[in-house]
Amino acid sequence: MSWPAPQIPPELITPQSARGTTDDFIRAIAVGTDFDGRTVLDGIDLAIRRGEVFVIMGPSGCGKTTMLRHLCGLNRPTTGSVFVDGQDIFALPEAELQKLRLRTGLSFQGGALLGSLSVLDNVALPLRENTELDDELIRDIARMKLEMVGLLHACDLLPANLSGGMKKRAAIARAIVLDPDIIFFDEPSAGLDPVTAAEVDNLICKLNQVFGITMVVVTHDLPSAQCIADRVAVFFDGRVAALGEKEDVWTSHDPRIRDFIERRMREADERTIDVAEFIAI
Amino acid sequence: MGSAGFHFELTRTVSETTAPVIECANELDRDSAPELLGKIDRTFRAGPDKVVLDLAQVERFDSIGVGAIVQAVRHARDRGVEVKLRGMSKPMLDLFSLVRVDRLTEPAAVETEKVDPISRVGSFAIPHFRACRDVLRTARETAIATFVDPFRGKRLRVDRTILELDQCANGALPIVALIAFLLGLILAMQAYVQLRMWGAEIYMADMVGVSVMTEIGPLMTAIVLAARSGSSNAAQLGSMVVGEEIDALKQMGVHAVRFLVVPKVLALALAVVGLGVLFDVIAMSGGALFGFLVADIEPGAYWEQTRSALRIGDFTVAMAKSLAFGTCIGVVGCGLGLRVTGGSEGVGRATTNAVVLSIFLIIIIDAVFVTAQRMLLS
Repeated sequence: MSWPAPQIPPELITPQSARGTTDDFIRAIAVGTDFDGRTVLDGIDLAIRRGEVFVIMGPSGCGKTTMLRHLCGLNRPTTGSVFVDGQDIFALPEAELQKLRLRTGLSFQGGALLGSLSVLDNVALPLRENTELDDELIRDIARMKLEMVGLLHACDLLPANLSGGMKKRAAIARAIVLDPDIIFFDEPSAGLDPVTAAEVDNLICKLNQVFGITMVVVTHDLPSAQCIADRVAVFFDGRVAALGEKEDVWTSHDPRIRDFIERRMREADERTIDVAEFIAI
Repeated sequence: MGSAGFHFELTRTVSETTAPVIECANELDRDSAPELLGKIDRTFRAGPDKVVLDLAQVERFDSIGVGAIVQAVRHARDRGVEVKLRGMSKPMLDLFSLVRVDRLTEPAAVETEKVDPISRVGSFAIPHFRACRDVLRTARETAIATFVDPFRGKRLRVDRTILELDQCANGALPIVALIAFLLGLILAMQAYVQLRMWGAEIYMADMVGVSVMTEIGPLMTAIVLAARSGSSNAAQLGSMVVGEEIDALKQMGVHAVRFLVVPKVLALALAVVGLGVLFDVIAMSGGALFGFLVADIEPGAYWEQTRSALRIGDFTVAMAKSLAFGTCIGVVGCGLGLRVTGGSEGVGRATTNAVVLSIFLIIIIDAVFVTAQRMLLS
């Protein structure tokens, strides 16, 4: 499937939809996480603006997904706080946190669609469980969201019958069904071919532009990050190594950032030295 | 790859050094590696400060051959001997450039410290304690979702409960019926052997009826469903945890216990009660068939004798017991499934534990019921 160029009426493009406003919508303060005595995140400070596409990049195992789960309130960090729209989410009572969660959508890396429900029922589930709407209306809304992500034709299929890209799009449809203020994406283009990955990227940009939804995207896919990001944070070993506008990060002189962006191998020289130690002169 | 023509030559004729040189030629592979290691070991025993391994003649090598060199370097470090490699070909250098030799030759990890008895007991008990805590938490959440939430406007998922009931009861029906019939026959046979000595064959109807209705029916049905549906629930929910589906439900504002667990628990409770009654009827029919075919007891007389032996109080207790068994199987399976950690291995562990813990708790609940009943009667 290919996306047509977005035909967005100018009145629908809110001022914050392209680059975000200056007010911080999500704020992480000194977030730290330990798993079994191993430090995964070490005092992370982040501020994400309303309406922007904020990308968290970094090598595998650097704590990106862990940070995302803290930001969306799924897991409590060992130390530090996360504020969403001015509320400390981990200080909220469960009922309040639940209300806040309904203002967010989360697209998991593998889609996390319920295998026993059809695509339509998966998308309709948040509406069925959280609203008193008539089921016919719920189905219409779910079909509309599926049409937005180009998946209406697959609405009766089970998740097991979907391709990787279709699962991601179905997960996005489910994430937007309650018209959230924020959507969190965990590796949206991982495991997809370049064309399908570009389609998913296009969809993220389109949703951001049309609805002004704040997007927080975790990825290590550089082309994808370059395509969708307004601002970028690069994580290394549980710390923020770079944070700022995409252009600034891409032109950073930090050797680790340069290695990551230019896809250079690490420790190549060390290995050469290591072998040399054992060679007789 | 054969080792024909392969040899190591130990020589002390190295210029400008007195270090022994081990020359290896031709092939360095799985066939020749043990011989190389033996040669190096013998050289080390002589106690040199330094050894040179000459690899100039090596034409072909594999990972096992290179692994032997790494092992030789590690042994040398352990003994304080310096090893130098000489004449490495470019392919061999390329292979070495993929690994960090210093990491590979680090001394083997020291054996873990002896754990004191208290820590050992703790490491055994804590996982079990956590499992029990998880099950109790699930039981509490299930009770709230079943009995309190409907009054707060959160309806029970009747459609899903019927679907679950269909899956666990319908699926278990054939095996429960077969077990019931065979057990009825066996019980009647055992009773007949004893009772015919006294000419009291008719009382086997009492024995089969009472034992099946009060104990064997509820217990066997519960054990079959624990093995079949309890394990299946644990595996299903565990897989959902691994696939982040439970997190997705949480994020969507869907209460996982109300959405997934309550229908399964209700279905299992109803299934154990329903199948328990069916078990009783089929087992008694098996006994009646045996009585008719072997002991010449007319079916009408057999049923009349059975009816006179059974009391409504026993039936009520049996039903209550079945209800408790079913609830227990549902809560244990779902509780352990929802708290799976450690990927697919964790799912397997939860599945096994669900069956073991369910059967254990079934026996405990049975003992509590029997004791309470006897105390009330006395």
